[in-house]
This record gives sequence, C-alpha cells and structure tokens, in this order.
Amino acid sequence: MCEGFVLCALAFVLLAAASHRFHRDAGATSPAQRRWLRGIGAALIVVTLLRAGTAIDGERWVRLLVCASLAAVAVVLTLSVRAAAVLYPLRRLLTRRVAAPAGREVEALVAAQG
Amino acid sequence: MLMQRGQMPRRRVLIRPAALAMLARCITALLGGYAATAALVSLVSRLLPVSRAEATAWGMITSFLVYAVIGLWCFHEPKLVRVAALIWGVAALAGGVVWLIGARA
Amino acid sequence: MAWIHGWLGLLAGWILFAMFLTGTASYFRPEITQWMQPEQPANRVSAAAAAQSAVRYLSRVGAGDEQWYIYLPDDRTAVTRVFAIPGADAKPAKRPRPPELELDPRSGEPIHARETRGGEHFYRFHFQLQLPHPWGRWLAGLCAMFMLGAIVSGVVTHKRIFADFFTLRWHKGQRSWLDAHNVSAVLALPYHAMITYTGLMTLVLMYMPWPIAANYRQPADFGKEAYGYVFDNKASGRAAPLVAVAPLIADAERRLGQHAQRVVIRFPGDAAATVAVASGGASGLNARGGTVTYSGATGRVTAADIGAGPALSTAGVMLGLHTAQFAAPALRWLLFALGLTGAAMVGTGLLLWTAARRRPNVAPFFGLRLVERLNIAAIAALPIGMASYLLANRLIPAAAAGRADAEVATMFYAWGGAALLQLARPAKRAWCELFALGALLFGAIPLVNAATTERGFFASLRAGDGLFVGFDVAMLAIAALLAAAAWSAGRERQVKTRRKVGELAHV
Repeated sequence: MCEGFVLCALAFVLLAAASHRFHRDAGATSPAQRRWLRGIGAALIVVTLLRAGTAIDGERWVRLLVCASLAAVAVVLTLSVRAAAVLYPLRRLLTRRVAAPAGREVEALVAAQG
Repeated sequence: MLMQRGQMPRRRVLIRPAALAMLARCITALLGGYAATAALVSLVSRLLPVSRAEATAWGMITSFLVYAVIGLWCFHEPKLVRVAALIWGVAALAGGVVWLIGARA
Repeated sequence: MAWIHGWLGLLAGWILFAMFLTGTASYFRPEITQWMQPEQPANRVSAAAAAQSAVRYLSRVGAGDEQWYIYLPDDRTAVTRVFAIPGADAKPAKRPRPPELELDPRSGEPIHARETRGGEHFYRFHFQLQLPHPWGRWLAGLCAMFMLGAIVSGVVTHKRIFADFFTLRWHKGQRSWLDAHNVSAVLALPYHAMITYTGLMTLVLMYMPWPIAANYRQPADFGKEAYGYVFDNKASGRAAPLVAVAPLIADAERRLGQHAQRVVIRFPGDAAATVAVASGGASGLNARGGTVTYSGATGRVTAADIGAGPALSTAGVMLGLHTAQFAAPALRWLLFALGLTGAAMVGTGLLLWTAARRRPNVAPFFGLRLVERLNIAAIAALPIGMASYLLANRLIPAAAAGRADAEVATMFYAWGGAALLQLARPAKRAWCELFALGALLFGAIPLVNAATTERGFFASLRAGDGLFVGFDVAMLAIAALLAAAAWSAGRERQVKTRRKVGELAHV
C-alpha cells in the first residue's frame, strides 16, 4: 500500500506541474513539456494499478482508487502550502535545458569578441 | 404591487403561490419520483429476458440511480406542469402495466 | 443544479455527518468490541471448533429451539455470537433467555467479560439513528438518497472540475471553505459515490422490494432462488441427534473455497434439522460467498448454492465493498481515512453554507443562526459523545447491571449536553471550546484505560498486543486532530479578500 501511495503521489505532482495553476512554478512553459508530464503521470498511475493486485479478484481496483484519492488529497494539501518547494526539483530539471542555449550564445559572443 | 385608492382590496393568501408551487415540486420529486422509479424498475425487471432472480437484482441495483436522476430532473425542468404530468404519469402508466401483466409464472 | 445541491446537502448534512463519523468508526467494529471487553482474550480457535463448542452449549440450554443463528469468530472477532429462536412449545423459563448470547470460542460457555454493545452500537447507529424500527432506517435511507442527489448535482454543477483539481486557497474566507469542500469531495469522489450507493444497496430489500413483487407470486421465493434461504421447512416431530457440526464446516469451507462465517441450524435434535454454512466477506469482494446446506440428522449435503449470476454477484460485491470485510489492515486504515474525508466533505459543505451568507457588519438572520448552531451540535459535539461512550465503558463498573444501556445513554447525554450548553457561548467560542473538550476526552481514553485495566499502553506493548496499542495511538491521533481544529477555530482571522457580488449569490 505504501508503494501505491508514493507512486500516485508522484503522479499527481507531475499532473499538477502540467496543470494551469502550477505549470509556471514547475517551469513547464511549453505545451510539449506539459503533455509529457501528463503522460508520465498517467503512466505512473497505470503502473500502480498493475502492481496493486492481491489474491482477491478485483481488489487491485479498490487499492488503486484508495491510494490515488488519499495521495491526491495529500499532494493538494502540500502544494497549497509549499508549492515552490515541492516543485523545485522539477523546475531545476526543466529550466536547466532552457538556460543552456542562452549560455552557449553568451559564450559564443565572448569568444567572438576575443 | 402597490394598491391604489379605489381598487379592490387584495386577496389574503395563506401560502404564497410560489411557495405552494415549490412544495408541489418537492412532493412530486420525493414521492412521485419514488413511485415512478419503483414502477419503471419493476416493469423493466419484469420484462427483462433473463432469469427471474437476475432480473429482480438488476432492477434493485439500478433503482437508486434512476431515482436520483428523476429527482434531480424534477428541479431542473422549469415548468412544474411538465414535471408533474411526466412523473405522476409514468408512475401510473408503468405501475398499471406491471400490475396488469402480473408476476412471472 | 447548484441550488438543489445546496439544499440537499443542507437538509441532510447534519445526519449525514453523524452517519459518516459512526460509519467510519464501524470499519473497526470488532476491534472496538474487543477493546470494550478487555477481560476476553483474542480468539485463537478455528471456526469449526468454535461452532462445535457453541452447539454443545446450546444443546444443553436450548434443546427444543427452533433455530440457532451462529456468527463464527475469526482473527478480528473474539467471541461466538448466537441468536436463538425458542421452539413454539418451549416451557417459559424462570428467567427469559437473552436474545443474543456471547460464547467463548474454546469452551462454548457464556463469556465472563463486561456487558457492552461494543462496536455494534456505532455500527447500528449509523443506519438506524437510534430510532425505532423502521423509522431510523427510512430516515437514514432518505439522507443517503439526498447524498446521492448531492453527488450527482455536485458533479454537474462543478463545471471546472478538472481545472480546479489542484486549487486550495488558505485564509480567504468563503473561498477557502469552497476549496476545502471541493478537495475533500472531488479528490475522493470514487469513494464517496461508492460508499453512498453501496450503503443504499445494503437495505435495498426494504427500500425497493417492488421488482420482487413484479417477478414472484411468493416474495419468499426470491430469497430461496437467489441465496438458497430455506425457512419453510417444518419440524417432523421425530427426534434425531444432531451430527457433529465441525466436520460439516470443514467440508463447507473446502467446497466454497472460503472461511465459514455463519452457521444456521434449524430444528436441532429433530429428524428434519438443517445446517446451513455460509461464507463470504472476509475472503472475497462478494459478501455473499455461497451457502452449503446439510441435513442435521445425517450430515449429507442437501443444497449447495455456490455460484451466482452477474446481477446477484454485483449486488454481493456492492455489499462487500461497503462493509470492506475483505480489507487487510493497511487497506482498512486507508478506508478509515477516506471515511474521515467523507465526514470532512459534509462538514466543509455545512460550514461553506454559513460562510457564504455571513455579512461583515450585518446581524445574522435567523436561518443563519439556526444553521450555525446545528453545525456546532453535529460537528463539534458528536466527537464528545463518542469519546464519552468509550470512557463510560472503562468507568462504569464491569459487574454493574444494565451497563450496556448506560454506556449508550452516556453517549447521548454527553452529545446532547454539549449541543445544548454551546448555546450559552458565542458561536465562535463554542466551536473552539467544544473541539478542545473533545480533544481532552479522546486524550483521556488511553490514561483511563491504563488506570482501570491491566491492558494499558506499556503493558500491551510488552505483551505484543497490537490491537490495544493501536487503539491508544488512534485515540491520541484523534485528540491531536481535534486540538488542531480547536486552535484553528480559536484564532482571530483576517479575511484577505474582497468578495465579488456574484460570488455571494453562488452558494
């Protein structure tokens, strides 16, 4: 159950990063990035479903929905008080690539000037 | 609705017409909706071409959703006449048909 | 739709909150009962052996009985519970037998633990509301239908349901309550919809029996066809000793592939006796796992109802989802948390209603004052009642007569008393003080337990008694939650928003 909860929480953080409300905090500026985030988030939820099975038929659906609901509540509560902190790793990851081309341009200018 | 000198005195009403209409709508939704649901669901389960026990169970399972939708529609539809006619009409019609057909042999 | 959602939620909200809180407690019904009978040790005996010992005792004291309905113990339930229906020509005993017996699983004798309703009280309250039959169940059913209507209308009303998925704004007055209501309602929507619909299904035979009348000339035939219930066999009048029950149960468990939960013995000691062994609930999602019926005189199988069609299986699964007996401890705790989320949904909805109608410099109108006071009575006073019930179990002497009824009375006097006394305080202070009192009472439970029994926290920790340790921890966690609520309610808050006119009219 812990594994399911953690996976779903991760999925919801990614889905939040792609959402209208938090995509700026997460540094996900382009629509392509947001689509990727949503896709990976959805994939994580599918993985949770596949790994949630027990001996009882159908219990995996119960476990998925229970984990997903509680993880969603936890993620929304946490984001409402500390969104920047939670999304920081994602922001570092996504904005480093954007900064890199600009850094190269500056280096090229400096090299051109001698 | 200002009264002017020389006009007929205003009728005194015990309950405002709008409140009466709302009361009628609530009773139609609550009681009429229940009757319509019971009648519809019984008719469908009577006619469903599966075994008796299965048809009965399907009828009972779906009944609450049917009741909720019917009840909400009673407040969604603005015309009270349409609501009352449809709900009580369905209850009477479906109920009558189920009663006439009788239980399965 | 928003209008009807508000009215459905308001009219049923106070009762629904009580149903959610006591129903959520019922996820741990056997554990609460075990905690409330600390003299009775946990069960270590198999279902078959428990049934045999119960039958041995019953054959002694109830030889001419018409029916014995035996609930078998398991790893969560410590006693064997028996409902006996006396025979028609039984001689009236000097002291009438109690309708329900609690027997020790090993010896079959009545247990020597304190008399209590245990977790059964919360469980029965949440669908009977302490009203006489059938009014309580009808009222609970009406509130559940209102809840279903509120769920459907809530989803239809909430047009930006996905856009608002992650929205939770603090310190913005009415808007914060709306966000909190959305978070607790939408994020756990599958659970709320499931628990409401399956809850209605548990009493469907009372709420919607009409399809049975449309399909069966004799309504009793439905029970026979669907579940193999046979209640019309008559005693033959010829005596024949009842066969040993333990081997029958072992055989039934083998055929059904699940643990046996209930045994119904009709006309024990007669040649026409039947023994019906039923399972379900603990080993699968379907709460009705099947029944095997044996002849009580010969032990041969007379009926085996094992498979069911899709509709009856669906109904059984719905029942199983509601009672969640299949759930392992971790899943059960998470369901408990979701139940509390449901209570939060109802509570935030009620608080949203008052927050949306409060005007800064205008005296509240009568309806607003009434709703505010009812909110306090339903939300802040009920935990006081529930804690008092548990405290009464420890404080009323174990040997006192009528103590089970006294415990129940304590809960309602405490709840009612708090609900009335709050009228003497301004509303804002009442919220803070009642929550604080609830926190105090829940925090006192582990202390009173340690002081009045030998199964206090440290003793239970040393003995490896997970149930008693977990119970104390849970009580402290609930106390902490209530203390946080009291602190939050007691703070002077500056609402940092200017309300737009449209928003005032929305809810």
